[in-house]
Amino acid sequence: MKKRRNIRLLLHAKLQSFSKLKNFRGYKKGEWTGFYFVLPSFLGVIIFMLLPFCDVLRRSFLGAVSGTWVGLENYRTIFDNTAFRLAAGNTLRFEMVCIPLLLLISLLVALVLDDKLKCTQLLKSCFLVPMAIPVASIVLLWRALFHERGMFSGFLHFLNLPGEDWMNTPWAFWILVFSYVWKNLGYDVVLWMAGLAGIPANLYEAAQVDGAGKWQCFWHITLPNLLPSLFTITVLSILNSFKVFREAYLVAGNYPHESMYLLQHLFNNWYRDLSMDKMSAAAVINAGVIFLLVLLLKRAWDFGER
Amino acid sequence: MNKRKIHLKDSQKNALFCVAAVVIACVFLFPLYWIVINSFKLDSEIFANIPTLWPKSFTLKAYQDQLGNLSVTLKNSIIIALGSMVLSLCLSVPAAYGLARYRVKGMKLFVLVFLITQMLPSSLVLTPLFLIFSKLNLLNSYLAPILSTATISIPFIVLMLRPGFLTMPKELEDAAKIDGCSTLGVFFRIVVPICKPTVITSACFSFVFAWNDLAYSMTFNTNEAMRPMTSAIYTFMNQYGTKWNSIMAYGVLLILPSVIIFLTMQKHIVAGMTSGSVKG
Repeated sequence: MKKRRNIRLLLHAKLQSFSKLKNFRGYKKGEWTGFYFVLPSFLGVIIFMLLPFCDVLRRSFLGAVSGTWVGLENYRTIFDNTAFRLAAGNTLRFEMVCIPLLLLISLLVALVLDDKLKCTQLLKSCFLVPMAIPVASIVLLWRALFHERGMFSGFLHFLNLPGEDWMNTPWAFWILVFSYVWKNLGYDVVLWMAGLAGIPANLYEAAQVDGAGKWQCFWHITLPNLLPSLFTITVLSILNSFKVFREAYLVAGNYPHESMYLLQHLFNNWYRDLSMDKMSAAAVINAGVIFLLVLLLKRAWDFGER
Repeated sequence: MNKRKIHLKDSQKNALFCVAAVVIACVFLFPLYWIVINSFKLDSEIFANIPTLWPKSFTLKAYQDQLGNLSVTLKNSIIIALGSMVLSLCLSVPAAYGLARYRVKGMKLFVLVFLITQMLPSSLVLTPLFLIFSKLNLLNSYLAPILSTATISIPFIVLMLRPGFLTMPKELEDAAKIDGCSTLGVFFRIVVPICKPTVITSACFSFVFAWNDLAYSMTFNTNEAMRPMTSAIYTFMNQYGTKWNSIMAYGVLLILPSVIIFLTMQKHIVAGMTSGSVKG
């Protein structure tokens, strides 16, 4: 009996998969046509992105001078390295400060903009513009604003407070935080607004009929429904935060204030010392973290599509 | 869209929120305002003890100074940005179409790889890319920055275009095929024209990516004759740090194309960003 049932189940599954295949668009055209469409760009990405990275992976296990296999030696070295610890610690601190700050501000802005103000469209543009600004101009701006005799010091002078070369004080870290939030707020606002637009309106109507107030609506409908967006936005924000290192490096040059010594500076210093071994190991660890985050993100998206 | 009206009827609160949002927006736009306004000031005024919000003596001198410098770097920037745009469009539009329309073996792997490459910070691949380009003798040429920036924008465009191709009705293509159109013909005569808006958006994206790029052109190009505007401004900044109004004017000229493209295409860009794709 059991066997027959199994066979029936199997047949059923086969039939189902067959019908799925038949419905699949363009399946009969063969798998190769699609493959040819994808191949050129995929090859490009492999040659200029993945192969270089595999090279980094290989070098992370080799000695810098000898070029012989040293196993995990490089990894052990960098974890004992004070510069690496400083950079990793600063990076972690940066994430811990930036991500909650950005998420909170962008959610607030999104909620305000979602109330259909007259100027919503205009304001959205204002928040998105920083995204389009080239790094080179940002660096220029920051130098001018936070120069010893720049705008910010001038403003303090106006209040009879002493000016400073802000990039060489512990404030440098906060300048970096500001520039991250400045650059990414618009993106997060747009994502939050997409999440808000996805909440069915009848939920609010029903709640209102039941006599729920504005705050109750917010706590019991808006926030729970935004949870999936929260996850996606968090992961995306963390991923984008790794890209702020470039700005950090360019603003402060090779010898930044200790508070903003991030992984990018470390990479650069090791690059100039030609310590490819240490650099590769640190890069692999950095990429590993990013890879994990991407997997998490994909999980979230697949979950959302279901 | 009337759901939120429920808990916001009083126009007073609306006005309050509006003011708050405008204040935040002002803080956000202030750095931009500052760079533009300073480019019209004299150098002595930029670093005056008390900063002025509006130039006392409005001058276009900085821009006149920059015009001579501009021709070479502007040409380089345009070559790199256009080259990267054309290359990434030629490669990524077919890829997105292939991934959306056909059952490609290992499609999930392709998508994952595109996703990961898009997330890797450029600092991680900078050194190995440098080694590759030096082996291929591509350093100090236009090709190095073009290839590297295109590699960044291709995954982005593929992920952005795919959902659009997925929702396109299949019937049109079928009809064309019955009339004897080849697969490539269908792609160029039917698919691309229909998806024109999204294709244009991705063209803008890749142009802005390449235009804004500093890290690649700085690392791969030491030849002054091939330097784009971004790395030129960076070297100016470190060379003669005193001529601030000239640099500011240069910075404004650099910002302009990106911001104009971004603002005119904003609607499409927002749609592209939320359709499951990610910023580069």
